Amino acid sequence: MKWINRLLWTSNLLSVLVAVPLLFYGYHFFVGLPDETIGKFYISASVIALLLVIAYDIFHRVRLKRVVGKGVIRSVYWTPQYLGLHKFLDYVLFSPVLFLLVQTKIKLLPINLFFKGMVLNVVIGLVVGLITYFIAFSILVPVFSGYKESFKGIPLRYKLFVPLIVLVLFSFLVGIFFKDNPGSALWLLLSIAFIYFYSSFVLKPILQINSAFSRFLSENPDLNRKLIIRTGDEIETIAENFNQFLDVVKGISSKVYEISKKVSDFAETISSTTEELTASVQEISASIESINTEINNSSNEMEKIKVDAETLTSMAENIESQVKMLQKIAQDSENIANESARNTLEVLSTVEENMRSVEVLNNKMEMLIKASEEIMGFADMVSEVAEDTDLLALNASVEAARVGEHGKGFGVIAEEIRNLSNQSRNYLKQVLESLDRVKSAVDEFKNVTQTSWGKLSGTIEYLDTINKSLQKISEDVTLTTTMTNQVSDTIREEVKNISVLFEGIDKINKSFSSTASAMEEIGASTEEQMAAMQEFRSLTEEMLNTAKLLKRMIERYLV
Amino acid sequence: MNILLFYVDNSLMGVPIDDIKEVGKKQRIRKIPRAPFYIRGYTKHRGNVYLVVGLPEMLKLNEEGHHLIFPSSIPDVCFVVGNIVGINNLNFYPKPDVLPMKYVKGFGEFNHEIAVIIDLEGLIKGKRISKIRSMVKP
Repeated sequence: MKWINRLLWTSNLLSVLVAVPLLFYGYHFFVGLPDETIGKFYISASVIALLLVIAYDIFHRVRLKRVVGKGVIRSVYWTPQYLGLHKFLDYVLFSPVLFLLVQTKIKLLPINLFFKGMVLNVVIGLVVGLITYFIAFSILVPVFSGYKESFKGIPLRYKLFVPLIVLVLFSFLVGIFFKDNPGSALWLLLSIAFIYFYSSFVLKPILQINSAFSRFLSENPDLNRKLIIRTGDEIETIAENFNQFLDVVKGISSKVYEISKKVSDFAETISSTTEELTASVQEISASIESINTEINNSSNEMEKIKVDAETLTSMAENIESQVKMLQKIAQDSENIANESARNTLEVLSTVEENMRSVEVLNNKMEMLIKASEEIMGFADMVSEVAEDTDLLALNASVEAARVGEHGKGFGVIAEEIRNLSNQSRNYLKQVLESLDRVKSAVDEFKNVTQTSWGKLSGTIEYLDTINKSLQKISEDVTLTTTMTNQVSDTIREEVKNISVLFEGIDKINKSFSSTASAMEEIGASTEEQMAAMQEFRSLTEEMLNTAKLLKRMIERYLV
Repeated sequence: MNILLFYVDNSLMGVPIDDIKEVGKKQRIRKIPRAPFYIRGYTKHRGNVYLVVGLPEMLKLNEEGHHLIFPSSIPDVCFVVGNIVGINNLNFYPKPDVLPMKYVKGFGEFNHEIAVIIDLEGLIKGKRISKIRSMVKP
């Protein structure tokens, strides 16, 4: 609310200090009051003027607060023009009140004096209204945004024209009052002071523009600081243009800054990539050298391979001759195997014949065993007969004993028969023993023949297996022969392949030598490239430095 | 005195030849049910049926037997004995009176060996042989 106080205090102070004394002095001068009443008149007029000022103050405060509450000047009545008009109307309305006051103190005031006073009133009111207008204008217009929609500012020419008019009016008044009047010097001083302040008020925006330009041109310009001038005249448009100019400069400088930044980044990346490139070129040259050495090594290796291949060929030929020998051996062994198979077959047939004869022998032996068993059966029968004879002789001797003396001879005969039977039994025993011996011998023979039979059958099995294995050997030998033939064929092919390999190795050696020469050329060109790269690198570094410089220069405007 | 000598369980025994009618080979013997242990059964000999009495069983000896002896005094009864040695003339020694065995007649000496002379009639006296004989031969 500072601006309200400022506005009201200045306008009311003007009224109190300038207008009211001027008015009273004018009345006193024009109307010509008597000397004994003039003191009272001054005091009462001063009180009335103070009351008027207070009323005016309160009235305007209430009205302006409403306006301020809305934030904008809605009503056209609160523009500086109307404030000035109000002041003027106040003074014009004040003059009848003053007249009535004078009428109460001084009886019968002549009517021409009243008109004189009215004219004075109007003139003073006009002056006060104009001053109020300028004060209000200077105070209100910068405060309120968007006042432009309400009214247009006063052009500069009127700004200078009005104080001149005021000066003329003052000089007119001074010219009127100067005669025999010491207060006229005060009026002159006041008018000079007014002109000074007014001119300073008019010139203030110009000075602001000046300082803004000097700021813009200084070492550290601030493009964000706008020039704010709310005068509503040409100076304001200048300020706005200046602000737009600042914006434009700011945009350009930010763009330039971005570009310079990009350029600097780009230059940095170029510098780094050139460094990498140089490094890679160095690597390439190193790798080319290594490739050269490798090529030399591999050509030496190829020579070695060639030598090895030659030895391989000789070895393959040796192997072929050996394989041929092997074939011969295989054929010989096949013949031998076939012959031995034939021999074994013969042996087999003879063994089988032997077996057949052994079988015949065995049968004969079995027949012998049967015969001896039959003989033994006969011997048993003979033994039985002998026993029976013995018993018979015993019974006969029993009978003879029972007969007594007469049967003694018979008893002797019976005894003899018994002895005979015993003897025959003994002979039989010997026969049986010899038969047992024959039987055991035959058994032994049988066992022997059986073992020989088993051995012969085992021999036959062996011979069979030998025959089979010989057949297998013959088959294997034939297989080996075919395989050795294949091997010899493959070895021949291998020898051919090795000769082809020789040609290939020669070609490879030739290509190696050509590659080595090409590699040397590449190495030379890479060295040239490296030199160019270093030049390019120094250039990019320069570019980077200039870009950095540009960036630093632009940064001044952007901070 | 002529005595028929034979072995029963390796002990030499003899019977006076006057007591013996015939000597024979041991034939097939058929068993008789519910008979005493010393009755081996009955057998056929020359068309007659004989009750076979085991001499080893009666003398409490262990012998299978090879021959049969047919006593002259006891009809339809034969005895199983071991191997018959033969008929020999032995010096007979009568049984002393202190010996209580009634079936022993006396002793004879043969080849420095003592042979027990057995009384076959005394052996089977008082046994159930006659009853069984009548059962076998009605």
